[in-house]
Amino acid sequence: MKRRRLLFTVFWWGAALLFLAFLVFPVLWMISTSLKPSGEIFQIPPTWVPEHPTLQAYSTLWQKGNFLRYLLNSILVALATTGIAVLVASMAGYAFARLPFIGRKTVLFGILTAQMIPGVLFLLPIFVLMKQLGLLNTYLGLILANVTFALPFAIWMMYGFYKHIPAEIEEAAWVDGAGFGGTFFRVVLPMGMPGLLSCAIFCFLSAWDEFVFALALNTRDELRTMPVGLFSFVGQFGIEWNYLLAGAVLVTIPAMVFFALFQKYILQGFAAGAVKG
Amino acid sequence: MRPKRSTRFWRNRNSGSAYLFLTPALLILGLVILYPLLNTLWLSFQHKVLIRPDQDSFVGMENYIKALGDQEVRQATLHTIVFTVCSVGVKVVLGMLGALLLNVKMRGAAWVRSFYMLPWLVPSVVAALVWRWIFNDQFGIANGMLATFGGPAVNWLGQDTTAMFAVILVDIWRGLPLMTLLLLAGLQMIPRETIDATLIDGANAWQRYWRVILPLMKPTLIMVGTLSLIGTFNSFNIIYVMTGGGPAHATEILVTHVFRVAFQSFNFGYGSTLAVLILVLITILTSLYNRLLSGRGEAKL
Amino acid sequence: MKLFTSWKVACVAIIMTSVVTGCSSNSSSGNASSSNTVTAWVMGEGAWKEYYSKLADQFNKEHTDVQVKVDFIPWEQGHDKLIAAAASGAGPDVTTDGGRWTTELAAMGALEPLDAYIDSAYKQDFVESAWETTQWKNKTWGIPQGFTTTGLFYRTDWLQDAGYDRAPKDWDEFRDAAKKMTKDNHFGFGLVGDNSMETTMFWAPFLWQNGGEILTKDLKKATFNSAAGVEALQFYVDIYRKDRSAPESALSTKRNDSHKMFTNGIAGMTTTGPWFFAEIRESKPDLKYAVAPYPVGKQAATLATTDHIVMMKTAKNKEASWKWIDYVTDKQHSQEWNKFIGFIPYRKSGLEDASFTTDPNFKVLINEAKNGHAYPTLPEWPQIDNLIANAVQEALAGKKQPKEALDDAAKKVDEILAQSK
Repeated sequence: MKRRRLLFTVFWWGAALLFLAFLVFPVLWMISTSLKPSGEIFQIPPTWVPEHPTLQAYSTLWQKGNFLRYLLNSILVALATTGIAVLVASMAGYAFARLPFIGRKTVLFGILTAQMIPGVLFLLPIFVLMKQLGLLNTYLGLILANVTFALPFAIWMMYGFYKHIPAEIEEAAWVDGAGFGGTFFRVVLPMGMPGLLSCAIFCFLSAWDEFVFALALNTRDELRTMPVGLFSFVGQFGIEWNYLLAGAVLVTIPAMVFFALFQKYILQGFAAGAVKG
Repeated sequence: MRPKRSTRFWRNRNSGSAYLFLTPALLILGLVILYPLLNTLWLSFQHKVLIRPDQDSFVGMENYIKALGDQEVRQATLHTIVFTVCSVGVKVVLGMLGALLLNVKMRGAAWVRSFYMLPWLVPSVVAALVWRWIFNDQFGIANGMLATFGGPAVNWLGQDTTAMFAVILVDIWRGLPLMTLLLLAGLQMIPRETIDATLIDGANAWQRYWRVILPLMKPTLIMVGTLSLIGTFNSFNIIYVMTGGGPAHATEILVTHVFRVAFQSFNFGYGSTLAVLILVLITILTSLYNRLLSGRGEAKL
Repeated sequence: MKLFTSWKVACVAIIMTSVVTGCSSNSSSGNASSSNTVTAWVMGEGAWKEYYSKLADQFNKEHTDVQVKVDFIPWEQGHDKLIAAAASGAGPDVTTDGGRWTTELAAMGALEPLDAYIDSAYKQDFVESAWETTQWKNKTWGIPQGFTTTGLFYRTDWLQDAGYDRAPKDWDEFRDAAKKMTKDNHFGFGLVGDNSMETTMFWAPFLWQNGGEILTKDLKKATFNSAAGVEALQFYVDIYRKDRSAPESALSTKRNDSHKMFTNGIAGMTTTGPWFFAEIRESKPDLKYAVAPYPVGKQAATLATTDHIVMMKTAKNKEASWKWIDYVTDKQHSQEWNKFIGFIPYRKSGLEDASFTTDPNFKVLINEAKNGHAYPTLPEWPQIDNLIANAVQEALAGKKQPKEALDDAAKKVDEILAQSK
């Protein structure tokens, strides 16, 4: 039995390292390139570890662009999207899970189909809509678009999550006279914290990733998010990839921090919410 | 799962609150999705080319008829199906293996899990940029590695099949963490003893896995697979940034094609028609997938 | 419970900030729309931003009745943004644009004709080939704002090693030189063949040199698939497929990639315009290079491009908008801009300026103006442009023979042109 255990451990690590090799190596290559001086990136064969590591790419990037601003914009948009989407989704998810109302199935199904709609195809109508609402060139417009695209999945997650929380505690709170809102805010939300947090990670990362609308709905440099800012540099730097990949490293770090903060909740939340449905 | 009396309990409370709680979500979705959807549907029956406002007119089904006979659309559809099926297929298989792996209690597993999630944290546009550099024919590490093994340099993004391979690979790379995470979440609902037994019990491990775990995972696979199918079908950023649909349309999928029709030819009428057709196609694909897995043709919500 | 409280606070805080910032940036755009403020877009960042933000400050200081607020849009995104803005009426009051977009915008009904603001004396100071690009349906839709020609940039040291003491003069010499420069991961020519309009920009001069034209004079039919066109594409393809004197990655090489290959010692030749001087000076001041006219096929030819500044139909205060247009393009500021960025003067009064005639490299590009060809001016140009780029790509990829690729593209172009009547 012991030998078998050892064999299994070896097998496990072998498989795990294979996966990681595929998943992590581009990130290592990204970091490595960003630390190379311009001359070294055009070396053949390419070097894995920079021979003359330098932060030159980072400092150039910092000087040339509004990078700090882009970073703050991304963080602001992603956090605000997360805050709004999580709140709205948990309210809706709770209603779906607890309250039998007419047309519940239909509405739930409608929200799921909304998930299927590729945002790119609605670029122009949404652009026109935002114009009519006066939300072009505002954070709010971008946040609204991001919330919309994160919502269907988020609602679904929260719905699944609340469905599997026993209802007795809330019932007790009701009986104690807490009322609907009171029950939700004081009892349900805290109980659903793991679900909320994994939902938050999902919303944050989807806003962090968003590109097409951030590109289309803004014309101001000072409102650009990181992906758009970085994309705009492609034309400027061409094949001088050390600059672009320095930007890539910078944009990945905040997401890593956010993820690391809430990581321990995510699996719990997903298990209860998304998958069981 | 809830006891029945509970439902009655809730029904006795005012169901007006339910609508109140739903309002914000429905308001936002209605505004930013329903309106554009109806707008697109309406436009799909119009002849509307932005640079020719004088020609605007209602044309009924004309755009739809044109789309069905459009060679470029047919080609893009084929590419979309190849792209989606390959990417989702590999993601599901690898994701399942990865989930089984991460589900094992092992010292250091927490670290492996953290690093495993890394690609999900890189925005897809940025990921596409990074991979474009990896696939650079002269200075990229992909050819660098091939060279170490004495392989020939490959013109990755300049040939039809390798370009398609490259964009599929990147889509898998980006999507695998979330896929694994969702499958892992599903796995965690299966009693641990069941899984441990299948894995460690030597000779029959694979058979047992097949017979015991997969059926238990079916609902999860349906859910997660459907989601991934939809997401991959609409994968725009990676192709847009890596190849722009090239070389010579070899990686042009439906969403990038529609983008081109709408924003380079400014044919909004026709572009809307294609958008509607894409929605129809996604619905067909997802219901096919569900039928395939559930065997009875009904997706469980 | 405690965790929840802090979470709730955080939520509220986030929503508050977002609403506040949303509103505040909203209100700033509200201010901008008051009638004596002109909102202007300028295409381009870097040097464009540096110069035009200063110019706007200066304008605002000199004027009390009119103020201007400028936003900068990267060139690659400019076209899509302008069209989206024009289609929804959400655009600026004034914008600069790539001259090839102007007729398209005019056809959409998004532009204000400028004839009311100018007289014949005003027109006369403009270089004709630049001025002509602003005309469509007998109206003036923009004012030239930047004028450039392109030429062949080559590494003098590499060329010497290849056995030439001067730039290649004709196509045969060009191919030969490129072939000889290609060795040890160096390439003769940074050929552009990516999936975009930049490929057309790179190939079109070769078409013209061979006596080809893109469309018939009346703009009713495609002619780029003529024998001259097929030969020009064959030439372009041979450099890549037969001689292999361009990097394999040509099918994903953009113009800027080609330029960076040149400055980083990967490609020995590239074609581009005068704005490239400043870039070389900044990034590789020691680069041994010179500029020559394009190698001559049957005739000398180069691509001349004119950027415009245009007024949108939705401009709230048209008089004020014109003041900004006039300020940008008047004799003094146009000349300042040309010197700053290294463009060619588009006003005749600027051509004699000594600072343009002393630099030999610059003189080459000014002289090339007489061989300048411009793209046809019609609203469908961007679509045609795309079809040509696609045909070039198909031929470079070896999917189709040059003739087949161009014929197929020509058929589609003819369909587009027939529909537009």
